[in-house]
Amino acid sequence: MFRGESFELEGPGLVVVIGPNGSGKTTLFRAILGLIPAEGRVSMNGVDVTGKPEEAGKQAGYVPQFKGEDLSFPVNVREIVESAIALRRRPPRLAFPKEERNRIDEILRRMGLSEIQGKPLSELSGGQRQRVFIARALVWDPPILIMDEPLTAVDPMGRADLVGMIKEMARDKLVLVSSHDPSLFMDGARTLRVVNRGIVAMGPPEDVMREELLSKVYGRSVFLVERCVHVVDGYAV
Amino acid sequence: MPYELFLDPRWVIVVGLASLVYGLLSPVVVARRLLFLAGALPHSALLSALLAIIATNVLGCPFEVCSLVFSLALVSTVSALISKGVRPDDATAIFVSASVSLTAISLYYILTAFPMETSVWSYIIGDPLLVTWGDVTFTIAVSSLVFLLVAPFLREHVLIGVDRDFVRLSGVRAPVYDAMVVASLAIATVGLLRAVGFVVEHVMVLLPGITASSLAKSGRDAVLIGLFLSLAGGLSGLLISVVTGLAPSGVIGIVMLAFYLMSMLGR
Repeated sequence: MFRGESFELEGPGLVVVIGPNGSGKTTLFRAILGLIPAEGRVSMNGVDVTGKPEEAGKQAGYVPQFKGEDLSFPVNVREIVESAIALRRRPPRLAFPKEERNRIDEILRRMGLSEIQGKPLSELSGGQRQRVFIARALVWDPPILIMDEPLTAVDPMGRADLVGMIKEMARDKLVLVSSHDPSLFMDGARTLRVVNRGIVAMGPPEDVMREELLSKVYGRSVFLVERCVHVVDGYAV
Repeated sequence: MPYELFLDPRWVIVVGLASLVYGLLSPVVVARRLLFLAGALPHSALLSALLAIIATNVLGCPFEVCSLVFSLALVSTVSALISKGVRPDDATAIFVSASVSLTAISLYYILTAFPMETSVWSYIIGDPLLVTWGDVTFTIAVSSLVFLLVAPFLREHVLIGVDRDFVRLSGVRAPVYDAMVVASLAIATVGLLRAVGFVVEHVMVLLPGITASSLAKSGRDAVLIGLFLSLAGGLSGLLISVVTGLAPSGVIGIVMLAFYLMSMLGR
């Protein structure tokens, strides 16, 4: 899907990856994280992480796209966040030391999850669920954050909150976000990358958000309204 | 004369241990979304046992070893199909179709070709009331092995079902844990088949986890509730069957179903 592509990203800052369904946004992120086989080389902070998810996981936090998976097993908020620590420790795992418990409590508090930490994921709204996965990704305070469609299944008010949170995190981390709706991130994004089974364009938003370029990717979903380019996407509505 | 209830300790040990094994595995099955496969494994266990009877009579190999080898081989075919890109539900359906067909052929062959000391019906209905101390020893060994493969790694087993990618990013080799879960299910189903039977296995590998998931508010609670329900269901079913003279496997199944229905009413 991505052949002959080579790029470098430096943080901190917000990089937004946009493209229609099936364009390869998730594939790009999973290849970077070593979750799927890929030719070539991926390095993070000078560490070769090509095809090594355990090494990529030390450099980057990952917030996956929620695809409506079956959440019938009642793992709760605290257990999800705790897993970031617990999975890196080998059995026998007795109680968490005080320092780690405090770290988890702090992350839950920062993400506004303290009051609902005992609730199973299935009882959360889309926005709350995303906050849980963001909290989990932030436990080890990684310098890089990769977020795949974090606004999926989130109501408009929740989206505004999440977008604000993501822009705040991008002040001191390199944050890669994929989205169907690029307009939400425009005033915070340093780089916009447009993909459609390959990288079509990359650069500052003002250079990339051009009707003629986006029309090649999104077809008739692109509209020019009062000199502003809009991408109308069914999933964004 | 007052009625005296007799419970042989062998019955209690075998049913108790089998209940704990399935009580531990069932929540993992739910978390890993393996309900269809887990429901199919008693079929492969039954086929494995029948093939082992044939192998024991023809080749003289120990029944327990043969049945375990056949079971692991059969279960591996499902994993192989899935790794080739067949959808898990489709692979399981193919597997069940093949297993039950071969079971019918094997059963007919055994009934007509070999003199049997143990009725093959015991593999279906289960005969916990006829277990020997040898069966108890074997049950302890099987249960211990399954506990070793599952209990210390419960968090990994469950979280792989919730978010496999994150578990891999945390440095956990997910395929190894996949193999451990599948092997545990295969060992638990074939190893305990003669003691508790196909019917109990079918019920106990599915219902405790499903019921616990509907009651619990955390993964930890789901596992503990699954263990408790399975043990309570197994032992109370045994007690009821002894008092009423009904088949233990059927009574245990009805008790587990009653637990599930009560959990639904309580919602």
